[in-house]
Amino acid sequence: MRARLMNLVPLSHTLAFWMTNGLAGLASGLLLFMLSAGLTLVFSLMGVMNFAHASFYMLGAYFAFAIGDRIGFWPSLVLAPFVVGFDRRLRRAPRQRRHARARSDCRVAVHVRPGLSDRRDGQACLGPVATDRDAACHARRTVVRSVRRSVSALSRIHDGRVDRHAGGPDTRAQAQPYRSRDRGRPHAPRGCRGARP
Amino acid sequence: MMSIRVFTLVFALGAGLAALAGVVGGHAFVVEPGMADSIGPIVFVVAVIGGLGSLRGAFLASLGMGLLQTFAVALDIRYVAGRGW
Repeated sequence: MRARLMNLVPLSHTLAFWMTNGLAGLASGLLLFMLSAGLTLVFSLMGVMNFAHASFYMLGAYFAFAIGDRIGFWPSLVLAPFVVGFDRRLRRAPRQRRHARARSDCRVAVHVRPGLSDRRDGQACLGPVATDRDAACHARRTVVRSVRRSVSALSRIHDGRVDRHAGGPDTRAQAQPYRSRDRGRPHAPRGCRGARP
Repeated sequence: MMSIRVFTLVFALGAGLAALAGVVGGHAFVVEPGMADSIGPIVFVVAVIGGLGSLRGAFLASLGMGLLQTFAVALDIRYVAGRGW
């Protein structure tokens, strides 16, 4: 009898249904709120619509997975946001090392070994010696240049906003030589520029 | 220089909030490279519905969106009367 009644009463008339799904929806909504709070914060204070915001969500999940695998969930809950938030600052030292290595490669190929140098065919040649490190350096430069161009396009938008509101002369001074250097130079091989200070 | 530092700190704070959601979401759902694609559009919809830049609006919109997503799956409602669909 009871079983027949349970079959007749629709699921959506029970309190358990509404409680369960209401709490699940609340949890899902609060998760969404944490994400959209960060997006709203960055948009309202800085005026930047961060299209990569959900990628930080993904990064946080991955870092939490990696950290929580080693030292547990609660440390990862604290550490992962810090790692994602200060990702760039944490990676600065290795990146500068990498840039320094790239620069020294290029200088060996282009700048340090010009002039009379030994070639395989025994002829002495004047000028920069093309090695296969040149090609690697050129590829690296191309990648770095394209990344830097997109970043500088973004930061130019940001700079305009900052200059309008706060009027910082130092930000202008920082953006200006970089812009002219990026546009004015020809495509000829040149040494890899180091990391911008 | 100061404004750039403030910008960086605020951006880091926003990224940290997203990562905090990611820590919870990674345990609730699947950790995969495409999880940004699955939730990213929803977040934009929430931010736009709540009014861009309004935190209270984002809160209400995210709760509404969460409930809507859950009950859209859970409820068995049809708009057109009759048997079947």
